[in-house]
Amino acid sequence: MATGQKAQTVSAPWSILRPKKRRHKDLYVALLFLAPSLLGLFLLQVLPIGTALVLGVSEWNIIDPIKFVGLSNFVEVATDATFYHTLENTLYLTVGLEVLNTFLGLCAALLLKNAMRGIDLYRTIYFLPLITTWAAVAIAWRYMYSLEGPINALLGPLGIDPIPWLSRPEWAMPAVIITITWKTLSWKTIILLAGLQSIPNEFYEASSIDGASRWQQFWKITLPLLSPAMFFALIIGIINTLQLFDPIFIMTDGGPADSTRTLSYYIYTRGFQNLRMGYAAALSWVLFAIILLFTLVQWVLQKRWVFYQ
Amino acid sequence: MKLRRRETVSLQLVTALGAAALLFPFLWMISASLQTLQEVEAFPPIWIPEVPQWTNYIEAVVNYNIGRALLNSAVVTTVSVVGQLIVCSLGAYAFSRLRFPGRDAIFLLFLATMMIPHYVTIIPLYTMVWSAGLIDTYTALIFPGLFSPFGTFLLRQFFNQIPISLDEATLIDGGNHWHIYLYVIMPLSRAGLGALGIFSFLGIWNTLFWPVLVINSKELFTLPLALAMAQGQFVTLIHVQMAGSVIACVPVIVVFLMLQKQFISSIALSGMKQ
Repeated sequence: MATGQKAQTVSAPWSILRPKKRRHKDLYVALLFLAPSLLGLFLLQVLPIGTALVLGVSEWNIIDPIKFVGLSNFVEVATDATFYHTLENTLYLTVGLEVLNTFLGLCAALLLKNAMRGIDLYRTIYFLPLITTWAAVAIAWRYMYSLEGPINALLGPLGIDPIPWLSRPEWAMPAVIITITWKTLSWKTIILLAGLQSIPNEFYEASSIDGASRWQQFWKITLPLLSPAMFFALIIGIINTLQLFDPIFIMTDGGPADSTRTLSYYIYTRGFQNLRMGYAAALSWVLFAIILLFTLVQWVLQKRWVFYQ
Repeated sequence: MKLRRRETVSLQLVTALGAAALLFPFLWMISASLQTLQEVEAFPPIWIPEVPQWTNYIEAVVNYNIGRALLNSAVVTTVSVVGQLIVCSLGAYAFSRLRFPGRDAIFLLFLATMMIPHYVTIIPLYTMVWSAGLIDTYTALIFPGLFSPFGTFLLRQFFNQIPISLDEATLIDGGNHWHIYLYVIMPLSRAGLGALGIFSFLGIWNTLFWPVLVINSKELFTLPLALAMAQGQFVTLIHVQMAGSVIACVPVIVVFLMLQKQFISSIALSGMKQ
């Protein structure tokens, strides 16, 4: 064939077209292109993960020599009352945040999918909290929550007495949840909005010809077809919540009375305030196990409520 | 769905109410940053300052280290983002365009590390930086931002959408892989580079945890760290602190307005959060 002959005459640089033949041909070029990434992967991922495995079975305050202690860190975790308390706080935060974020995020997505006047401006405003610096806005929220601050001033006319938001154990977690909802709500919105926009309009048209009400359309069309996006947002959202640091560092430092100390903040406390690197590493592996277990359970449970087209 | 006029009006109203609620903390932040100390501590709160106190901003920048921190954040973020775009795009090119043994296994390793929570790696990373004597240096602030498995993955997905016939055209013209990378792939991947650029910009500009660990001296504070530390030291100066917060938020809002589309479509695509 003529084309085959032509290809043969310029065959030298054609490695891309011939994947099966001479697979090693690009090896040296690939090494050059990959060298920075491989160095990064080794220094920032492989080496730290390996070190974390060693630290998990060691006792180290970073100054004295490191000491191998076997599984005693994990035994200590299992009997650590503060650990169980932080686990409860983490559950409280995660459930509270997911419920609020999913409900409000869905409402916002349903609003923002409509073509109305000024929609671009509205979308930008809804996404602002998500992108701004946690440290900056968390400080603002801390002052807004003060006893004589703007939030209590707004609640006053509604007949609500000033609430000691961040100074009482029973109020601190709700306050933190409200702030994180404000900050992360639009992340949910973006994912659900993309889900909503992928639902074909014909479904709504056909069902309204059949006499379905808006309410019925929402429950029978929108929600089932949105469930894959909701599932995705649930998994990633919870993984992110389990690793939150900034708002707790700025607003409460885990207090008052440990009421906002989550598992991830407890890792920071043990590792960097008490300098127990080994124990903190063991706790971080427990966090990893929780994330893994949770994701697997969700994966199994999704058959019951996630509807794929 | 066709909406009736009354529905349109009520939708618009609810959307505007939601926007007002989400904007409220920003508005309060700006208002407080322009008040006097007496005004900001008054009860009931004063919503609009009588005379805007622009000097609060000067005070924040000059006396409370915000100027230096702004400079540090700008340097650290610029170097990290540019470096990350280069490192990740080179790696992504190899995974998208080159054939070599073990390619898929290495790529799988990249993906697998994305599943490990930040908290597992940050303790050893800190001990590594400490052992290397790099505490309190720009190197410690910058090097973790230079590489990202997620960034490599994201760019590879974008590169894979570029037709391979363009590579062939370059090869016929006597070009090599470096030419394809520089003159074909990179110019055609502006959307992908923009998306990764804004993710890494926001992530590095906003990050607090890592600077808290590796930086002790004021001269090296990044903006989030300077704001967090000012909170402990000058607890009564709410108005100056709010000026600092506004200064920290302005650059991210500007960058976001420029790259909003890429940012939103990439979140929808990958579920990434900074």
